[in-house]
Amino acid sequence: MKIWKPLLFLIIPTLALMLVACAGGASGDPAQTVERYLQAKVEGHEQTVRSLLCSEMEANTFQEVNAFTSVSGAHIEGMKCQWIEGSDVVTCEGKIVATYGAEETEFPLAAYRVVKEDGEWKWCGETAPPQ
Amino acid sequence: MGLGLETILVFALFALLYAGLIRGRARRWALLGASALAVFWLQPWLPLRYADFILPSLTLVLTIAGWWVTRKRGEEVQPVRREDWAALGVVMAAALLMGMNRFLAPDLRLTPSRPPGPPLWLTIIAIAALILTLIAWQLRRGRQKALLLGGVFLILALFVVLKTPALTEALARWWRGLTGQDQTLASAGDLRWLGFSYVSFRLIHTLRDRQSGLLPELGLAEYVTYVVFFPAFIAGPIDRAERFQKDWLALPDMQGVSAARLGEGAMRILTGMFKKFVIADTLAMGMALTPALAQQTHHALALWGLLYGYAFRLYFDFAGYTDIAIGVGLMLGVRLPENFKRPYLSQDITSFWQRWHITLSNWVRFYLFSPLTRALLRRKPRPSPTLILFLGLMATMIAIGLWHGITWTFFVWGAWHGLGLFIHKQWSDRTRKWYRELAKHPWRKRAWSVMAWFLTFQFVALGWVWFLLPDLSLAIRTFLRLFGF
Repeated sequence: MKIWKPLLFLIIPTLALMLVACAGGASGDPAQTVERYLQAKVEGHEQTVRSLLCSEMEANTFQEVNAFTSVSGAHIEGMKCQWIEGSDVVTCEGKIVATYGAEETEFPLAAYRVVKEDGEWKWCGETAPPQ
Repeated sequence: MGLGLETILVFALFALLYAGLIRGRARRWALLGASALAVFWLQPWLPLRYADFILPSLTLVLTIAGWWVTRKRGEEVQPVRREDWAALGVVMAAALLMGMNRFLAPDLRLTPSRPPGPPLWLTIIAIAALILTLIAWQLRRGRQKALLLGGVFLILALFVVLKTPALTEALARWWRGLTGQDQTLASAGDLRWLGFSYVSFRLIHTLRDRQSGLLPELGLAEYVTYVVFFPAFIAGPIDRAERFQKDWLALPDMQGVSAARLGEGAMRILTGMFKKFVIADTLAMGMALTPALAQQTHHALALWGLLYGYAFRLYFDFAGYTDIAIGVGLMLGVRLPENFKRPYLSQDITSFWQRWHITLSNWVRFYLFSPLTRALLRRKPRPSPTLILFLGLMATMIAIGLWHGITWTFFVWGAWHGLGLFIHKQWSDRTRKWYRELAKHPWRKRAWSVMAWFLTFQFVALGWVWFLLPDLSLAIRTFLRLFGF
């Protein structure tokens, strides 16, 4: 075997990855970030919540991860988020539905603040919707 | 990432593709590339920015440095071979490939979080190059012995920092300061460096064996694959380099798709998954002792039940991981050593430690117990053999305890077993004749065997109280409550 051949195992995927990277947005879309965050929060997916939470909100991680752990059937209905371009606000339509005992409670989705940390969008809590 | 179902599926798929498509010497390169990539892929997400990329990079840097220091140096130093340069290229390309995940959208990444940008990559490469240059300079000055010893101390120092909660927290606080994160949130859990415990055992083994001249000559590809071999990266077993080398050398001649080998490997993986995901995880659902349950359970009988549940949960969890690692290794053509041989059926504590985490027990016997007792034997005036044995066993078992974490509870767990081994040795030395007599009475012997098994199991199970509970006062309270106090 020629000495350079082993490197092909990694050179080819690296080149492929570069092409994918050039084609796609590395920082992600702010609206998608919020959607992923809300989904992970409802499902109690700790790692995703932690990775999408901004540094400023890190102290609230426990509450965010466990917000829906004691309720049954928490899910999101009709989620549609939109980033107001040039701002730090993502507005969402839809609602979180959770069952507390026998009572079904709905939490309408609101407007959320997003910040860019190290070139990547992060969820940073609720905010007032733009006027 | 950890060793979940998804990871096992990826491992098994890779093993099948490897067996079916890769031939000859390419198998070695495939194992090297896959293992180097897995170091990054398996690392779980960490709250410290970039830590989940930097720590795996450090694992590879330490491993390459380990190889550089442990190269055989006779009168004439062999030049670095072309294969070694190619291996370095593969490892660097693997790190680069994972670093490139920075430019991918979050859903497509193989890394747990966004890797750092090129300036930090270059810094890591520059630091690695500097370390290797310094090592090369020292080697040229004939200081291999000092470097080998320094390497052992460096790994031990890292180990102490990572296993001492207060030191880990201080390091995490410092790291947070560098990256502008909230320092008040620093915790010991911020720095979970996946695989480091096992990597350090393998590195120390190679460093010590080079000192004693026992280490065979290993190429860089072979060395790196041995240290970070992906099936055994997370939870062992701790293989030995000379044993691994035999399989490595045989890889090119291995039959590609061998039904017997793949079948045996698949069977071990399935057995491991059953142990881990069915038995251990079922026991974990309220049937095994936890710190919370230890505080809430006041009835001694219930506490004993939970303790037994924990003992079995721990065994099936760990033995399950080992089965999966051995199974994947078999499919790849590497027969990793066994780690468990029905330990809970042991009839004495010495036999238990010959059947529980066997590769760890062997490692500490070889690199701690034997050198320590030899050193004590050389002392003048020479201590009594009983004292030497006591000190050797206590030091060895306490070291095993502290390997799990530098806390008082692990210390007590180690001392518990050290004392148990010492008492058993004294007992067996004094009852040898009686045992021989017992063989003439089969029923009496059988009754004694059952009794011995029962006592051994209780001793081990009670030991898990110290192992499991994070706080010494809670452990003591639980221990007393088991006996109705």
